[in-house]
Amino acid sequence: MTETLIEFPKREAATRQNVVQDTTFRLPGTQVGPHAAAVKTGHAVQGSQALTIEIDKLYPATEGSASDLIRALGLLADAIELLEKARAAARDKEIVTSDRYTQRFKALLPDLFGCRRVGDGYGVIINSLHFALVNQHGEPLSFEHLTTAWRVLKGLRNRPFVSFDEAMESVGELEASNLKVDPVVLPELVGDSEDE
Amino acid sequence: MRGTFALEVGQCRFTSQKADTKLEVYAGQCKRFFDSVVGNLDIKVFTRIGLRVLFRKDFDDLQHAETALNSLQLVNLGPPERFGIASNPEEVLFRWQNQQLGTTLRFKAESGKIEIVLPPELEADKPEIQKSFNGLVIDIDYYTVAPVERSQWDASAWIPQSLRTIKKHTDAILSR
Repeated sequence: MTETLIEFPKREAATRQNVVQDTTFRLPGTQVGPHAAAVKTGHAVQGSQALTIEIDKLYPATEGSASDLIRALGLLADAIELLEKARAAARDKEIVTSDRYTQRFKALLPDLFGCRRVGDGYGVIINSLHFALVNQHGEPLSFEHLTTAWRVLKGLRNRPFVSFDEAMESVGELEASNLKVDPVVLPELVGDSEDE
Repeated sequence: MRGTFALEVGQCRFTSQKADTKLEVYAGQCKRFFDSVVGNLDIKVFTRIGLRVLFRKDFDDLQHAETALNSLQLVNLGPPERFGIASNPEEVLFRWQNQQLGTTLRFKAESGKIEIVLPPELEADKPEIQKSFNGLVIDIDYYTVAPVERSQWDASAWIPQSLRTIKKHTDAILSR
């Protein structure tokens, strides 16, 4: 009689999906449950190559939340939607409609600025957009302006805790699209100091 | 508030046994610690972020704790005795997980003993402290599965928000 050897099932190679870890801490005196024996084998995470988490999953809007961040995420979603509509109208050469959406977006900026405790990077981007609109002196934004502002805001909504330096890169994008993002008074001050 | 900071290769954590109810003070201290670590190590992406919360309801003995666990009717098994051990489980563990987030929720009736021998230099009236406890532990681990960019996460915003999510869903399970 021949014996057939049945191979013992091998554990699958650890991947991000099948590695089960817990947030490893345990109060003294509490027993370690079976799940706490976490699989400690190495796992390959592609870092920035992997898809990062959706911001609305990371910070779900819960009832009664008074957080500046949750408020900012809601306002940013509204602002992005308005700019999307303004872009669509600008693309179809409907300048008045596009400007109407842009003005509605402009009305959101004070509330967005009110959430500036989210971070310095957030504050500098919102501030730059505010001055960009002020410096238009009533002129409607072009399709290129709107696309850049829309892209910058989408980036900000997905990464609201952007650092100041990274935010300055976004401000640079706004400037590259010929938006004037500095306060009106700043060139005057610089000019005065040069005169002296 | 007392706590323990830990930084190891591959993970960093802050544990506290007496945190404030809304975890706002705790989150502020976590922010200072994690921001410092992230800044010094120039971390760009987190592979996992987790908040683990343990609640314990004390009972006079283990049997009362087990009765409380079974009264929750978390599993629909009932008699007969399973594996020649008991009809009711001593521990119930759930896990929900998708590509973005995951949560484990564990209920356990357990007993334990704390024994501390104080050093003689303290000249304490009672050089030995012994305390036994019986209770029902609810252990919740709420964590991310997808990678999180540094500029997406802030401890002072995420921790209190996550605690609200934990409480909301745990309450819904307990009061269903």
